[in-house]
Amino acid sequence: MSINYFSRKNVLTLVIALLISACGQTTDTTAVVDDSTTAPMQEYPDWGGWWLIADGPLGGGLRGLLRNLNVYQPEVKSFIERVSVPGTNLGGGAVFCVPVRFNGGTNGGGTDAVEFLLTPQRLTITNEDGMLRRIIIDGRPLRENPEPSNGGTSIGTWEGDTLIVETIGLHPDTTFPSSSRPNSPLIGENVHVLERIYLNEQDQLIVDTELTAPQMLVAPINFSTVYRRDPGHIIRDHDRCSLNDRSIDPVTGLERFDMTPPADLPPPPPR
Amino acid sequence: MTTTISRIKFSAISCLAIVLLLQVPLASAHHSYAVIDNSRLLEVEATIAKLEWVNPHSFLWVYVADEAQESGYQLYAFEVGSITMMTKAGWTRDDTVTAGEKVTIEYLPLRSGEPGGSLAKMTHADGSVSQGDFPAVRFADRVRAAEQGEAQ
Repeated sequence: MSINYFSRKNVLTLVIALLISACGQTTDTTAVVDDSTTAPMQEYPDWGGWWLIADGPLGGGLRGLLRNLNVYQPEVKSFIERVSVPGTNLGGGAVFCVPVRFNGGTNGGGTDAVEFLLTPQRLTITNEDGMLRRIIIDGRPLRENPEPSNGGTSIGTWEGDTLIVETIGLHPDTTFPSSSRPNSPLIGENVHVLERIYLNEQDQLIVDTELTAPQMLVAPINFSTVYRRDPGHIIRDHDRCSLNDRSIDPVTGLERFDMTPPADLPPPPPR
Repeated sequence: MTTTISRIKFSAISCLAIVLLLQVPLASAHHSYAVIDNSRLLEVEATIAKLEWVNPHSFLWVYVADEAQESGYQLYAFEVGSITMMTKAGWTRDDTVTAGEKVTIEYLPLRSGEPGGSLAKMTHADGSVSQGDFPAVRFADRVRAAEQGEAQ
């Protein structure tokens, strides 16, 4: 006896089953969304485009704050004083080749332009150094004790047009305030970063940060970073890796000045 | 005498503190400039050979007339910044320099005495100026300021 799988009754049953299944999935998806933390895309503030720190590569509230070395733990302060003596060769070239990490300082914008990409339930912060932070804005709580990651573990919540971002789970051996520099202190364990991100009336993007890093800092520090838009910005990689860097010996890791001429160097002009 | 020594100590400590404070904000490039003598500013007239437009530090290679050399020229190497930083300084890969172009370069020399260093300022034949990476520009400003102070 043969079975007719395509009988009207079987097809109707299949269609009904698919409809029920589809309805069920829709209901489940909606159930995990917290309406208080999401908004239709058109209601998000305009953070599009590329951003630079408003007062230049040495600017930003953090740089000014760190001129006072007393914010650091005593042993960290001693380290900074020791490595700041001109001519000190600290080496550590391989450190430059780790993936770019968030260290609780700025998100870039000094030597590398930054993007703040808002999408439903998600903010992605990335820059020309290749830093990548994923901030979930779907109402879930911050995961406890996450394994360290390059961008950290972050959640965000909206307070009006201000996004409050909380971050933990940073690699403790990340350097600060530049995340790829051997002659800088390490952020240490139990780092917690709280950021308030918003547009001001001058269309500048403000990031107010509270950085808690008990092994590096005497007390939490608070600083603001003011970003300005950079219309027409053309993305260019700002790769800090020491591979092919004439300034770092890849074998010893020590600083150097490689005088080996390029293979395709044109000949000198005629005498 | 005690007062004098105290003043000297105070002065030395103050100088060290100032040096340290000045160093910290400048230490934003990815290495410490250990091989560069940041206290001197030299100048050479040169012919452009090649711009290596790479991260994390671009390099500018130039020929400088030197009769002591068999070729009549000495090859100099100058470090500048990353592609992003030099772009901000107004440089481009293709248009800032041309092979064979005559330029005048101000630079912070290598401690080793080898021909080259960190480029602070490049003046083209038409008088236009291309600045180096910002740490070199800042160090050069300090050298000039110190020289003006000594001259007064």
